[in-house]
Amino acid sequence: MSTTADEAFRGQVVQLVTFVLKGEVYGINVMQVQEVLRVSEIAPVPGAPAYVLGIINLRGNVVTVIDTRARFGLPSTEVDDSSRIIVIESEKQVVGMLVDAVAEVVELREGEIDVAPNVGNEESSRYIQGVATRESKLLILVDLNKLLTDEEWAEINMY
Amino acid sequence: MRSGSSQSSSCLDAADTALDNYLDSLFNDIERPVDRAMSPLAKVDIRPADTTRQQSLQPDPINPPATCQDRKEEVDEGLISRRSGPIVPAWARSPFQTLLFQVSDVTLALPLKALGGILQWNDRINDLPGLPEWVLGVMLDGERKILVVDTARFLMPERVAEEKRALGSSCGYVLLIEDSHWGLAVDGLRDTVKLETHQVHWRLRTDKRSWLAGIIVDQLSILLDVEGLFAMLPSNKGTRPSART
Repeated sequence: MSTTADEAFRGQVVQLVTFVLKGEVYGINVMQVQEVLRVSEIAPVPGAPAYVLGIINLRGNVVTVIDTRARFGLPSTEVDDSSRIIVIESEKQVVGMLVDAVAEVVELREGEIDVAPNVGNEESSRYIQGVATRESKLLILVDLNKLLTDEEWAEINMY
Repeated sequence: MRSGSSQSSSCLDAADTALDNYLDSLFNDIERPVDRAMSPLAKVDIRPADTTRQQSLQPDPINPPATCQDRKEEVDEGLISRRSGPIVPAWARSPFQTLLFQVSDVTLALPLKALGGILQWNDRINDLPGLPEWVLGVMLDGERKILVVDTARFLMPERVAEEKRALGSSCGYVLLIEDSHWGLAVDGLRDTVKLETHQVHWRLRTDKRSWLAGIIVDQLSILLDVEGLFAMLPSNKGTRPSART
């Protein structure tokens, strides 16, 4: 890559909405975030996959809520005042992600994003887009389109 | 134009020849694009004939007799397709009444047309040896013997803790399904609600959870599909009457 192109690449800015899960900070593309909600009644759906908490009524629309902790292989925790549901729109559909807390919108230059260390865990490496350092803290970038497999998207896209 | 002299005639002939040659050359130029256009047409013309011959020997993958079958299989597989849209059962195309009830922490709904009756849960459920885990037992309703389904365990086993088998001690009801011998054990009754088609988010596929017709948006309740429910129940234990088919 030429110096000019490299500079242009490094110059491209990405905006991320950051959220917290078990003390770690994750970031997702702001363009895919529809809104952030306080946690309201989540109605369970029988037979849904284990990482599906249930459904919510969002202005007359049924939105499936995913337990992001479960999805990332983290232990579950109680919902508290900081918990939020991030409503995101992937290539496949609109879903809600339950997180411990929503932090802030950060800007990163694409050149600041490093490839996530490969420790042989294919499951997580699938949706981890990369990592970055922000104020001496690690920021983990999530590829929402790969958060679920096509089959899993189909599983929750029943109604 | 005629000329009396042979020289004039030969000149005219030459002119005519030249003109013909000129016109021929023009015509040849025009033919080339036509040739190119004709070539694929020619190929297309040949292909159906070949296909026809092949079809007599083996199934033609282009126009197989099983095209409709392929489509049926695709539908049968219940592939998600927003192009096919929500699956609205016939009984829901006009306003319909539903009964909302509670099973564990889930609110379910049953179309009233499918409700054959409501029995109070009591000690009269008899546990018979050999019944599957999701059948609580047999309950007498007059002369009828009702097989009482542990609805929680049947529809959502993942939500049922082993020690929390719903058996008798708590107040509850048994919802009779049409005039079959099946009854659904429920923890409580909530309300009856009249719904219109647009008030339900109908399912988009039928290959999984066939008992789930859709989600009642306002109540966030799961609307049951009795047809799908019956399909899950053993056919030799109190099936619907033949009027079902």
